[in-house]
Amino acid sequence: MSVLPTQAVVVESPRRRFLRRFAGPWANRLALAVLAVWLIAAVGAPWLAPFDPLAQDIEARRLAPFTDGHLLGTDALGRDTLSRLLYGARVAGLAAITSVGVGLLGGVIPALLAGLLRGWWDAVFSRIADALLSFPPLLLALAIVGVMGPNLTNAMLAIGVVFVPRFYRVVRAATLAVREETFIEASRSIGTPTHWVLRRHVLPNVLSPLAVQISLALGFAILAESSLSFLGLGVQPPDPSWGSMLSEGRAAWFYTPWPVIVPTVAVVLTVLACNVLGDGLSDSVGREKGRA
Amino acid sequence: MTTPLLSVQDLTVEFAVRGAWQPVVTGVSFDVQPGQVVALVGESGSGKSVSCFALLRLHGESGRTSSGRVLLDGRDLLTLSEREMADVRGNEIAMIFQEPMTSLNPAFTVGAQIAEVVRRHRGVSRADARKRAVEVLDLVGIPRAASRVGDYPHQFSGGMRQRVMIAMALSTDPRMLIADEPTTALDVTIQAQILDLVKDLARDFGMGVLLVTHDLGVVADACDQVVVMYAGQVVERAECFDLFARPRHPYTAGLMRSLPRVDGVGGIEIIPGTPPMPDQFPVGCRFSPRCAHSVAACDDAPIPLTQRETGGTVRCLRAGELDLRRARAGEEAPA
Amino acid sequence: MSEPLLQVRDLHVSHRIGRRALPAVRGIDLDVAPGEVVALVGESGSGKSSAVRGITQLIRPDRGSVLLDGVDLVGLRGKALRRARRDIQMVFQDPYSSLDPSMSVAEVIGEPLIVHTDQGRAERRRTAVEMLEMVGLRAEHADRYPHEFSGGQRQRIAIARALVLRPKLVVADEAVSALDVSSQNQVLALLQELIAELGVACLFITHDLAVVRQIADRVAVMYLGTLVEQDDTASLFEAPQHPYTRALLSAAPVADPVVQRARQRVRLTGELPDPMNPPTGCVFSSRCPDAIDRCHEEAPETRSPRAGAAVACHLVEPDPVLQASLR
Repeated sequence: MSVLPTQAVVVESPRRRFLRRFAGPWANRLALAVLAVWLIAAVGAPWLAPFDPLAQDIEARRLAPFTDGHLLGTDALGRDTLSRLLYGARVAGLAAITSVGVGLLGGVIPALLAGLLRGWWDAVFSRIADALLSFPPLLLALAIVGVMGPNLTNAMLAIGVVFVPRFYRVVRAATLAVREETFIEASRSIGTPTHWVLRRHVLPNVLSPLAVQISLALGFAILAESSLSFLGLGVQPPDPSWGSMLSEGRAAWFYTPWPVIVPTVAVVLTVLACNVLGDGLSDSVGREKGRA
Repeated sequence: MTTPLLSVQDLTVEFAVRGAWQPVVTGVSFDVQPGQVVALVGESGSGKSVSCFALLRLHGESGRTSSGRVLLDGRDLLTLSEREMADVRGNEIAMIFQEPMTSLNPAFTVGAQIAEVVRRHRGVSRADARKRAVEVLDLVGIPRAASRVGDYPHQFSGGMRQRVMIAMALSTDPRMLIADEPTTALDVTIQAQILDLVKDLARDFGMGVLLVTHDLGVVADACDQVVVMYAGQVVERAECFDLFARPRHPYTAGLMRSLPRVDGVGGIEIIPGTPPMPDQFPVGCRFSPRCAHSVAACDDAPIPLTQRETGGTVRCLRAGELDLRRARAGEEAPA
Repeated sequence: MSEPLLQVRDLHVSHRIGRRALPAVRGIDLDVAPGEVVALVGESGSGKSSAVRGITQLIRPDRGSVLLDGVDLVGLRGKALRRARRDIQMVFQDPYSSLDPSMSVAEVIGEPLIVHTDQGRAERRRTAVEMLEMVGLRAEHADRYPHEFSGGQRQRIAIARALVLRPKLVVADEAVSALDVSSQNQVLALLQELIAELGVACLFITHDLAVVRQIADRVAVMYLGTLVEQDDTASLFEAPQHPYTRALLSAAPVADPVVQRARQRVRLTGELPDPMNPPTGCVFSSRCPDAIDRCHEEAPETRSPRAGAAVACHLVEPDPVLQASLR
């Protein structure tokens, strides 16, 4: 066996390369920090909250921040804003994760099938997706909640349904691109069964665009949950949610603006962080700019 | 000897690699006479494409020419302003590339694209520009040019598209044509047609042609002079027949021996190893690590260009003593 | 003479474009003997890639049979087809997209083992490392990812994947065309060596005649979906019978100016005709420098001017004895 010369092998695993590109821009790092704070708030609410979020205190109504141990003040019923904020983070997190989960469940597998196998799969699933897409998202969510009754679970389901066709489209497009790759053809020529091709070849290569969509969807879900709760169709009082805090705080706006400002800032920061994360991911997994 | 149309003198091009400027091409010199076809030969990474882009100052932000002169009819292109350079590009010096499909804009008709070039450099009317477009399409052998001028790039086959590129290059009557691997992506019968066309144009219009290629068959067919590049340097330069008859640089000889030939002469001999990257260029001869004839002196210091016995230049300390001719079938290789 | 390993008869392959069918292969007959290297040569539009996909059942042929060791691949589906695939593996042209970027080298080479054997993970890895060493790479490369390798190295990995099951036939579709010259030579040399060592037959698709001369035992030339000439390599290069073969050989430049510029060249004019609208009679008649009236009216039958050669041209006389024995 002859000794064939080999060239120097460039050493950078895909993981390291991704991390290097993602962690570079400060915006990405900041976004991650914000989301980390949110996660800590959501998970640690029961231990971090200084007061019971539902506990009303007539004596301590409409307090300004940093008064009597209420770091962010109280609302019209004397409930501690900080505690309600932390529990609201929980609700937002739950809404985001559940609705994205519903979207993935309903969207990904049909998309893989439609993209790889085309034919009837594509025809049927794409028509359903098109139909769902033609509804304005919030109206669709409103309609579902209206029919099924206003509570957090139904709100999350509704938002999840909104996501289904959007995830479907992204995954289907990515699958269509991947199926043209020679390694798919190579797999078929080996005799690999279709389900293995889908699971091991298509899915991992489709994850990148999907990850971007997921982070953007998380932001949208938080916004949607807040909107529904604001309208009284999501979380029902007295349970705290950033949206319901906003709507309840409106009446006492002239006495103390804090119950409105705090949840607003929270929503804006968190959604912004999700969008920045999505952009950052999108930039980090695409083709390297310049020479490879 | 007549004044060369293009004279490249001691050209050095640097690229920014990880923050520092690395010389990628060093001390490149060659001339192109009017009507002459000069081949720039080398493997990928030899610096031949970088040199061409440097001639037209097309390397953008990431590269710079740090020394040397590029004289077009005595005028140094490297000293021109960007504005003046834009007048040279596409006008006095035209360039065609390997992939005609990506060089042509799919959204516009070929006639429109050619006319745009003509109007940009000649300032003629739309009607005149279109007439010129039909004229050059016909010149390059596109049948029914008058009707095809309104077609889009995707309506042409690969060979035809390359002809369209050549037509676009010719539309401004350039003095010089730089063709970067123009036939590599084409079928061999089409390649033969395109090479014939380029040779005819050089002869009929006195156009100088710089033909960049890695295919020695193309060189043997079409070229008058050959410039061989390796690791960013010119290692040998000679008249075509002379180079093939008696290569004087081990890399040139190795290249000739490593290419399988249609006429079956010789087997293929692989040159062991790979060319060095710009940040790993050896101090001495850059080919020395892979050279079968290398001696200690080869690695000490940069090798200068010396005159070849039969004309041209070579960059090898042992050029005078080595006989690198390929053995003819049946003969023993000379010692 | 031994039974051919691969026997292709009257293969027709077409591509569906919307409602229409574009005929890519118009009935070809091809044999590959065990351990033989057959080159399938043609330019773009010749149908050689489609022929190969029809043979390996990546595209279902419209008509014809493909016998691999006596078993017709054309009718097979499901498990039976999968089992048959074990003996016919492919190496593809583009080293940059034929390996899944999300799989390590060991996983890439191990995929055929997962599909066709019940080897466990450890055993698969051992086999993969064995194959890596066979193709001139090293054991430590097994956990690396494709993007960390050069084009030539990736093709070696692709070859390792194709040979891991020790198939009887390897189909190489322009396996070296996308590589630069030095990699081409190295990969070709590797392929030749392994084919000889493992006794594998090879169907090598290419447009590069110089490469054909290097490695092929027999050559089959395609033009617009038909096989115009088949012969052993030496005879084809020394005495091509079909006008297209002559034009093709004539167009490939020889790397020696003395020889090249003195050559009598057959210059082909025009372009490949539209496959949806081929010339009547012989498919090459629209560009053939030797065409006579008959060529425009009647498609020529394949005939044998001597043993081992097959040509589809009216101007080539069949050997009467051979012709009789073919009936």
